[in-house]
Amino acid sequence: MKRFVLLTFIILSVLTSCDLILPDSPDQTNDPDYGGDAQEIFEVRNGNEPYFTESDYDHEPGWEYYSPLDSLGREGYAMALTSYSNMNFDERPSISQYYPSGWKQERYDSSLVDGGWIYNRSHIFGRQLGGDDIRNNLMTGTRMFNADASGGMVAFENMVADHMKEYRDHEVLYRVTPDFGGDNLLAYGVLVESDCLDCDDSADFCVYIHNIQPGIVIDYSTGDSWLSSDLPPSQDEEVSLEDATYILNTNTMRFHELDCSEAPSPDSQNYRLTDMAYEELVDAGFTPCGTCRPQASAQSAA
Amino acid sequence: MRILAVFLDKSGHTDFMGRRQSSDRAAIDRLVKYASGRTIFIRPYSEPLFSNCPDAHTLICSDFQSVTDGIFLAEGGQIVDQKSFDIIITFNWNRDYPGRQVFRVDGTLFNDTGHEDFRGSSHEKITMTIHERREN
Repeated sequence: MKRFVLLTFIILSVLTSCDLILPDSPDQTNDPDYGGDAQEIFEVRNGNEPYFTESDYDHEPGWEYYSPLDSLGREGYAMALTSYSNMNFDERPSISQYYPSGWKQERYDSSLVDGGWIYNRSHIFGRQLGGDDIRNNLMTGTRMFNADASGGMVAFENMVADHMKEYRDHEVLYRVTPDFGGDNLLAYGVLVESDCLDCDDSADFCVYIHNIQPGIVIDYSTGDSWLSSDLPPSQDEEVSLEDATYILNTNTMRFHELDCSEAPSPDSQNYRLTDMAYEELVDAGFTPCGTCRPQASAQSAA
Repeated sequence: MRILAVFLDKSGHTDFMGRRQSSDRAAIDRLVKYASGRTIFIRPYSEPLFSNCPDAHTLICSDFQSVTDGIFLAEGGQIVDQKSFDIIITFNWNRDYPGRQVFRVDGTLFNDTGHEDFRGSSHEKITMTIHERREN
């Protein structure tokens, strides 16, 4: 009971402190440009410069690559050297037969989610840019992640697509890397890198797009989601460092080992100590950190 | 006559992190046509947009405040004071692009006096709107 009270307090704290459940920064964010402005749908990475290496450019025009699914059935990065001649202008065929990793579709009020359905089958390498309608190129993305007018996947694809329409001889190296963080089935977001080989203009950027939906709590380990307002009320209860089993990030709903470098700092509003066991936290919707990888056996006696 | 010209996406964003979101030869042609020989003041950043416009009278200018007559093309998220202009021309791409900074024409200062939709070289529909300063 004591732990349940603590948990409910933590969840309420999350809801009162922010509208969004946002991921920790993945490996790519370990750079000085990480602003941590987690209320935004996208954030610029690496000074807006792609992480491409010299060998990444060593491809023929029209080259495309789609990673095979991993052992958990999750999608990997997609990459292409594309141009106007590779773009798709035809009507997209149905892709409803595909069920990307983390596909736990739910319908919400359309005032909360545009169109009602929380998830879209998002093309990893954008279809209009030349991306294929194949399983390996489809991931589960929230409606906001896919179509947010100010910085969802499509908005960035539009910028590149219109650049290639305007400059039809320009070639663009484009890579999208889903960030699952550990064993999660739903990606926290994607890193999108784009570089026009022929100019420095609107097709050049490096951004991280968060896979989020305001007003909805998402369990990234499964793809399950629920309304923020469905969560129960709670009370406060402090846990000392001596009694703590893990550090919680109440923003990302991840839990960390006490010495984990990815854990929030004690002065962060998202920092909480808990004495709950591994299994209890997982049952409550928390996800183990992909960096420190907490072990269930060592902590379950708490 | 001081005239401001800006490009906007569907949400009113002017730029993506200080860079232009898009470009279109047809939109530049419209701007040059509107100018009718009037000088278009630009930053060096905007110079390539006019590389194929022999009829355009452009001038690189970093301080438009001292200019009394001409069109100022604000690109790349430049902050401008609407009060110092007589006319604002907006070109809307009618497309969703990423951005954070939004530009709204101040309706207490300007009237919409006309708009025109036209097909761009890479955009299905661009909307050019003229906003003229209200008389005091």
